[in-house]
Amino acid sequence: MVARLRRTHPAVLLMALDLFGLAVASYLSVVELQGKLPYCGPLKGCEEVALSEYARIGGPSGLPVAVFGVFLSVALFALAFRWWRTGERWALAGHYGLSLAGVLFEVYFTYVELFIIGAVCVWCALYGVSLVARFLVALAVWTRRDRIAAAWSE
Amino acid sequence: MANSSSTVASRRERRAAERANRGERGAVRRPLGRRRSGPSLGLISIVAVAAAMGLIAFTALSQPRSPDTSGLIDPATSYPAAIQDGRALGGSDAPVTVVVWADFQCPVCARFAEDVEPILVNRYVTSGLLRIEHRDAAILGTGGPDDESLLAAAAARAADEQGAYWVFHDWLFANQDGENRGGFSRDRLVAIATAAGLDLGRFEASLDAGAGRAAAETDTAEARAAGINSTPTLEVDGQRFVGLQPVDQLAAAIEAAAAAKGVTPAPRADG
Repeated sequence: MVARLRRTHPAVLLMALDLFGLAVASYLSVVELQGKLPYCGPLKGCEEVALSEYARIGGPSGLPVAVFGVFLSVALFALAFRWWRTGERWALAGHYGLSLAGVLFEVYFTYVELFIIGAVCVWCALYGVSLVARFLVALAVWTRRDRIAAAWSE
Repeated sequence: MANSSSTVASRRERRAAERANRGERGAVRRPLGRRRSGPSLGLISIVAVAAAMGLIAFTALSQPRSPDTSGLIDPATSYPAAIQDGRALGGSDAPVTVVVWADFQCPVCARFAEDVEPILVNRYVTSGLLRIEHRDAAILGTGGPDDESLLAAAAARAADEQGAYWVFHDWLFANQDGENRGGFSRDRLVAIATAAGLDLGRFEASLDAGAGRAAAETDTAEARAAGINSTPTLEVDGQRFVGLQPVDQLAAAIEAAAAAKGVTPAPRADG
């Protein structure tokens, strides 16, 4: 298993995390664009966050934050795929930079949830965790990029 | 290096071969670290932080400003939810009904709401003898779109849609600020709604829809047609009392109306 993981290109891990984030953001986007509320189960807070004016960027008639999450995940996936297929460093750098920007926005949004809305949406938290993971993996890969490139060019 | 004709090549070799066929600069990836050009981690981080800050600033600035609720007085009173019935207090099967025609800008109406009405509620509404119904006689405004009497009445109906008529009613009377001088402007009504804990989005949407204002105008027209030109005006089962009346006078009228229907009020707990 470990050996198999070692044989896996790190871009695959990034793409898997990007797809996970894309799935979460897509679900929230579809639900919110339909004017419905996300399923929260026994965990409370999704409804409150979804109904909040902060759930949209650009004011009450703006786009749901989740739609930006979809755009971000698609862009990150495309960059990870590009890096995987071509080894072009700018793609990895782009993944690192975009995920860092996403993490910073996620920190702001978590602050809004905790201290302004007073509720936490578990879907948003899942997306946030995936974003932090993507950023950390991209950072780790960036710092080892020479070794990775050498290993995959042998 | 790998050739495109290799058949038993590893996946890695096949990819290298594909790249070679596409005419890339070499059949294999060059080690990334050997490239001298390209962005630095620091530069990318700075750009990412700047982009995130820009998005956060745009998001924060695009949110509606929170109304200024400083200086508003919390009435700190509220009737039990069990006796609230929209814009009325008490059950619809109560034998006696008091209709209160009032204007939220009227200071005497505020005195009735704060000093007299709670006593009537305590004595008669909670025991099921009396129902108090509020109607709008928004007669103190200046007319036009900024008529503060009508705006306040419409705002109270918007609060009613959230089941908060009486909470908002108390907040309005506690925060009167003269007549027709901005005390119940739209902005201040929104601030009062914020302080009263209403859902602001729903409140503003309802206020701007205009249905509440139209209903308040209908009530007011009905009041004028009935000859009501002073507030508060009370009708105890149809018997009219104009202005602020002593509690005992209203109590006597209520008990008389109940007696006329064969109902004897329960002994008063407050003596």
